[in-house]
Amino acid sequence: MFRTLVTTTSVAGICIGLFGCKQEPLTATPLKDFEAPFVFGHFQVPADNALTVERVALGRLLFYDPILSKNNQVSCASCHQQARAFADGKHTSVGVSGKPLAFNSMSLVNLLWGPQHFFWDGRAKSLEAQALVPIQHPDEMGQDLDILVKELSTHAEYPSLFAAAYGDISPQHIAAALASFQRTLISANSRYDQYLRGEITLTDQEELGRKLFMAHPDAKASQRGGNCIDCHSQFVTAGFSTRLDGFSNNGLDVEADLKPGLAAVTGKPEHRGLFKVPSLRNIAVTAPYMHDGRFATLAQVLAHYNSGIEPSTTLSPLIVEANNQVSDTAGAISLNLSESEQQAIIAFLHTLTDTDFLTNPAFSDPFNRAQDATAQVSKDAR
Amino acid sequence: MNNFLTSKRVRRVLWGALVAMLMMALGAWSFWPNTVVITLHPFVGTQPLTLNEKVYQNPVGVGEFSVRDFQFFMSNIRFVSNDATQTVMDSYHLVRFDDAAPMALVFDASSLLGVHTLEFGIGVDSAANSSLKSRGDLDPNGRMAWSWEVGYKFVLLEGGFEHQGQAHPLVYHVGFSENYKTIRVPLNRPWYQMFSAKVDLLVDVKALFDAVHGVNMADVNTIKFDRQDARRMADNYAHLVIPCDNRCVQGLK
Ligand code: HEC
Ligand code: HEC
Repeated sequence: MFRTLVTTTSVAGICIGLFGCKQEPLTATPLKDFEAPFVFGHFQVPADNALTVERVALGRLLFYDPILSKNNQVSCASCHQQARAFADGKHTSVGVSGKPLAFNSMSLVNLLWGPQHFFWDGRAKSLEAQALVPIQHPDEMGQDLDILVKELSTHAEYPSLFAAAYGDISPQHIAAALASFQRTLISANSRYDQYLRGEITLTDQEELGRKLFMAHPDAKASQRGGNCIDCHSQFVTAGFSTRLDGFSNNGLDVEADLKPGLAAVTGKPEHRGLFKVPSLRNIAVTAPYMHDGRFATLAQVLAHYNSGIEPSTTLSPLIVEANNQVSDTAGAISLNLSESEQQAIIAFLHTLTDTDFLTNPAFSDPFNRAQDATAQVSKDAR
Repeated sequence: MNNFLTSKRVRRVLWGALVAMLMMALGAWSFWPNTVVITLHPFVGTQPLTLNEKVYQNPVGVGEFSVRDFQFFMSNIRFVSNDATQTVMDSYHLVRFDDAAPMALVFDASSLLGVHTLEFGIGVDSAANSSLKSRGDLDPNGRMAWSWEVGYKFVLLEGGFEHQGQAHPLVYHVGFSENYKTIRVPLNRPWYQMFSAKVDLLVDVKALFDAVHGVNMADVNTIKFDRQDARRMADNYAHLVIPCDNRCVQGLK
């Protein structure tokens, strides 16, 4: 079921006289053991940022290095922690200014699949474009890019690492390295994955939850369902990658309270209140939930989907229409799942926890040598 | 004689003729690329389909509706001539109309000599419908995937229905292998299009509701897993795509 996806593109050192010579990276070792389940489907790495060992290693250092922030105290990992599937456990994140951000941190997982627009409102068109945003944001890392490039250029180690990975130090290469590291954050060994590979069976409750997750209810055809798959795809569990299909209004707010969401990017009124459908992998460890962290538990999330939907003009028609009962009081939006069915879906969501991912030494803090060593020991002991 | 050929004026004329012939040949070449371009023009009856904004009459009953999303799979495209059929590989194309540019599918054809019919399916053939392989636009993590136990949605229409101030969602997700339909349209070409074809097809959303069976959205505002309902809409979508008639003439230039 697994296939190895070898990135074949090596880094081309093109030197065209007319346009001046670009500094070439000194070494380019293609990432060989890069693999993903074929059920995740196609993915694309930008042609000008092929994955190499040097780039991923550099990206990992930068991701964990507070040198990226103005006060040298905040790193990407401050708000994206491995043990929490790279979320931060806070209602909304806090960075250099101490002022809470407007949004809940997002888990960073399987970023090669699902919507290829980043942030809750999709305003970044690539991981490369995304990375420079938090660095400069006054409340996140508050760093000036020119100052950062200077700081890195006088550092003892970074100049040679950048030379090996990209040739020189520039904001674009900082972003490219961060993107490369993040593309390797693949979670594909949860119990659900093991079940898909036929290695284990799920418990009866988990299996019921899986079936409900994967079905849109149809009372007429006696098909019960939680309709999650209408927006969270079956294997990736994130939104759809085609165009803007991975953005949706899942009924968090009434019309008057709708935030711009995707409309902030497209300017279209029909996109008001639409947010990125996030991956549900490792969802049990990424609380609190939703773009503003409004739900503390998965039980609250299920209660929302079952009977807490707020109506609005851009609310998904799939949510309005989904009902496990043939007739309902006019106007009421409810899935009408039983208590035990909701519990079953929660049990299924727990099968998406991948402890290998949460403890993978390749994704851990490279500056924390003690942690690295223990992780290595525990891996060797297995 | 010698004098004549070497005269500057004559040489200029000859050169001019040569350049003109070259340009004509080039022009002819660009006139006959080895491609087939299928452009799909969406309508609701006589009106062009405009997503979200426009409101249309229920084709077979009371009330009005709007369309938020409309997508379907067009698959297994074939070019049929009297003695051969050319099949496009991995031919699963998601047709959708939410882009400013017209919905067009472009194919390379090895030869179009004698091809008189374009054949394609609406939906996904049963072999591909029960497979997890991503090919063409088939994506098991896509919006058209139901779940690996059920296969793909073939036709998806989501929107809203309103009657006397009451609003209802419209959710039509029609699939199941038995509902794969094949459509054939004639590939009439002017004589000078020997190596290429430009095919304009009309997609009539109204046909989903009235082509064979009346599907009244006032009564049936959703179709998903009920086999009976799905079959009725599938009989209708067998007539979803037809050659362009005078309705799309304006859009054709
Ligand atoms: C102060 C906390 C904070 C810091 C520091 C931070 N992030 Fe984030 N990150 C967030 C929040 C909050 C969001 C969601 C914000 C939004 O949608 O506007 C987010 C979103 C993202 C996303 C989008 C994920 C998706 O699925 O769309 C990526 C990728 C990301 N961050 C990477 C990084 C990188 C790389 C760095 C370091 C350069 C970084 N973050 C630093 C808090 C932080
Ligand atoms: C109509 C589309 C849609 C459906 C159906 C849907 N979701 Fe979601 N889901 C979303 C969107 C959009 C978000 C992010 C919303 C936001 O924060 O504004 C989300 C967020 C979540 C989150 C929080 C994720 C996080 O990282 O904070 C969980 C958990 C979740 N959904 C589970 C489910 C479950 C379980 C079901 C089925 C019962 C379901 N969803 C059905 C669209 C949907």
